[in-house]
Amino acid sequence: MAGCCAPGEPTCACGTKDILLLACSGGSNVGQIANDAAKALDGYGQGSMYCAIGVGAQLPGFVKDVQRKPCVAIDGCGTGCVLKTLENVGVKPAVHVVVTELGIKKHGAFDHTNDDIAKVVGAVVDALAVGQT
Amino acid sequence: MKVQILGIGCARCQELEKRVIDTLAELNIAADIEHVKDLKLFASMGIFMTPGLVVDGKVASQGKVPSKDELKKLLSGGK
Repeated sequence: MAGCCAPGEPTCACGTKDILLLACSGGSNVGQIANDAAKALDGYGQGSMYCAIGVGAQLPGFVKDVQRKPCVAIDGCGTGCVLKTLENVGVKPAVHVVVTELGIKKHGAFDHTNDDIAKVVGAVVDALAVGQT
Repeated sequence: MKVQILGIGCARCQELEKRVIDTLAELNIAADIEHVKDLKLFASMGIFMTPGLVVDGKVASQGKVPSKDELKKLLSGGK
């Protein structure tokens, strides 16, 4: 679908902005919310979901990509695995959002609502907008 | 009937809106049409890929621009 929008035009799922989205997908509700928010942002054309675990494994191709493109890190909780994963390869993300800092409590089940995902999407969009001003 | 098109204003979202308007006219169905461009609202409305189409509060399609024939079914309750 790439290429259907003119340069400078807003993109939806038809185009991909040059931003990498790296999310927690850990064993808790907030990990799954982080992952689903990254999927949604990708689906809205706001970036490309990227393999955080590949960076964590320090595979050269993955490391090279995060070092040359702006990254959004979405962590589920304050442990901050995604942030630390990036820091370990010398990368400071353009945006870092932590799901539990948005008023969503961590628990061991995977159930969550669409509103939870919307809250995280909103936080990332707001943070990216601040970065552009 | 309330028809909502979700997308931040790219070419495909605009194409979906135009196609919806044309299809509703062909079907002679009156509807309130709203183009929702605030992507912070999309997930709460059940849309995770744009462009999205919501008819009377229910997700009708997402991530594509349905054909006219598909839209006819979606906008006439599958009849």
